[in-house]
Amino acid sequence: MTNVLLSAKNLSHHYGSQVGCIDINFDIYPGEVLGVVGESGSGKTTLLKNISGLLQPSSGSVKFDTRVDGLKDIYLLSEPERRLLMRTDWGIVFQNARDGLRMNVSAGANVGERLMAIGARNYGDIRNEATDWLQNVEIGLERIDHYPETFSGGMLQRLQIARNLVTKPRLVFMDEPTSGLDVSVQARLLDLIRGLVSQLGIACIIVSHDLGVMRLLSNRLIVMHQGRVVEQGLTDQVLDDPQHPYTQLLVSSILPV
Amino acid sequence: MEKIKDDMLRISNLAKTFLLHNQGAKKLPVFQNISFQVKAGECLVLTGASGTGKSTLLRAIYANYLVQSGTINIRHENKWVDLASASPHEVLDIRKKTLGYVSQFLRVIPRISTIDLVCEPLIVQGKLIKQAKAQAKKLLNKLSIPESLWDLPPATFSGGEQQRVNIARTLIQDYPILLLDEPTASLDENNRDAVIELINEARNQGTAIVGIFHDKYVRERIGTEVFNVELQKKAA
Repeated sequence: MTNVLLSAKNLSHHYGSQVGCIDINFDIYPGEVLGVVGESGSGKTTLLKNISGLLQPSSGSVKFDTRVDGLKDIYLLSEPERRLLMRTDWGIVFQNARDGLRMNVSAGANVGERLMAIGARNYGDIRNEATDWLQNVEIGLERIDHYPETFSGGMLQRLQIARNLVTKPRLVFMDEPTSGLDVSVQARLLDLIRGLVSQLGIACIIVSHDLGVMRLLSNRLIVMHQGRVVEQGLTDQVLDDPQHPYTQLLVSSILPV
Repeated sequence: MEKIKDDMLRISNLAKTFLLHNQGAKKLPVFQNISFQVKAGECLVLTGASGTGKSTLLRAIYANYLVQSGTINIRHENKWVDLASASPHEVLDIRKKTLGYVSQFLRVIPRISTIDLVCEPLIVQGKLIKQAKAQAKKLLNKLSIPESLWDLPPATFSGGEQQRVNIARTLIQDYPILLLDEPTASLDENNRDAVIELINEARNQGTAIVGIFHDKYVRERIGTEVFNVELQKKAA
């Protein structure tokens, strides 16, 4: 068995007296897609922020397999070390693409910027790489110099994915990557994420309340309810033979098409 | 010793009960005390009336359903692994290399063409796209899926065509153990015979098979052993 890539131990987060998430434990391995489901307010996004270095948890630890020193607590790293990690080994795809993009520079620059952040300096190389990635996410090359402001919602989300994957991260966090997109655009994006993740062998933690998305993308599933993990296991097993009352309710609430 | 060597799958004392929390914690016992072994080159046919739990048993063996007790020992890369207690990572590895499952219905993925869908298991294994495609084409031809459909996603195909795509997607790989849930249910005679031939080819090469076939014609041509789930339940 290969090494653990990210490990969350006894993770809890409180907002004053409000509960974010309680006592979360899981490991994720390289190349694996882990899904986190649960209703609004169940603590999914808090958990994602906790493990992606955006929000320090009230208690517990988040360890990541760093390239040089192996498994290290991300909140005990120095600020520059953590920033480097976020720019190289990690990608974060936000629910709202505008949070993950720079709206006042061109599409090509949005992709190139992350390359420059890890040391790329040759303008020609950067532009070529950005061109490749825009093609990968099916954005027409005539749009490379346009501002994201002029893009549709689905294109913004694809641009954000290109910006994140260009540095070939080892782990990508995605918060509801397909919500708010119409279903045909959503299918295209899912197909894209699925292909890229399997081709590049990237590990991925995806938060969503869409069980169909989870069945398609994730290998393993974590079900959250009122801040706690109530069930976890293989995605198809959790969806086809749910054990916890809340998961049973969730699965039986899907409208058949 | 020779006999032990041949076993591929050993099921012992398997029990499954569904507990429906949202319907007043209703308990639905499906089966208990299910035990059998399957050797390489054997095809065990599960029999019993509809609703006796044959499909549930097959899904339990695939670790798609959790069991309350018992063991499901699988010979995986020459080691015995109990699927009932294996970690999700082990289960995924076993499904990737050792244990194939043909469900009753194809799960269509939006925008993915038939040929890519059939190739996928080989690509995941690291096979070259060109080789995988050649193999997929051969199989689709054998199953008489017209070439004009290969580049289309199977969402709009007929029931029989979808079922054949589903079979191709699993049989493209040489799994040592195969679980088949009515693979010929909605096929016409010619296609049914093509599927029988493919399954028998796999069995002759040493694949251990557990299957549900309602059609007596199919059962007689594929099956080598019979296990009656209903009788076993009465005995238990």
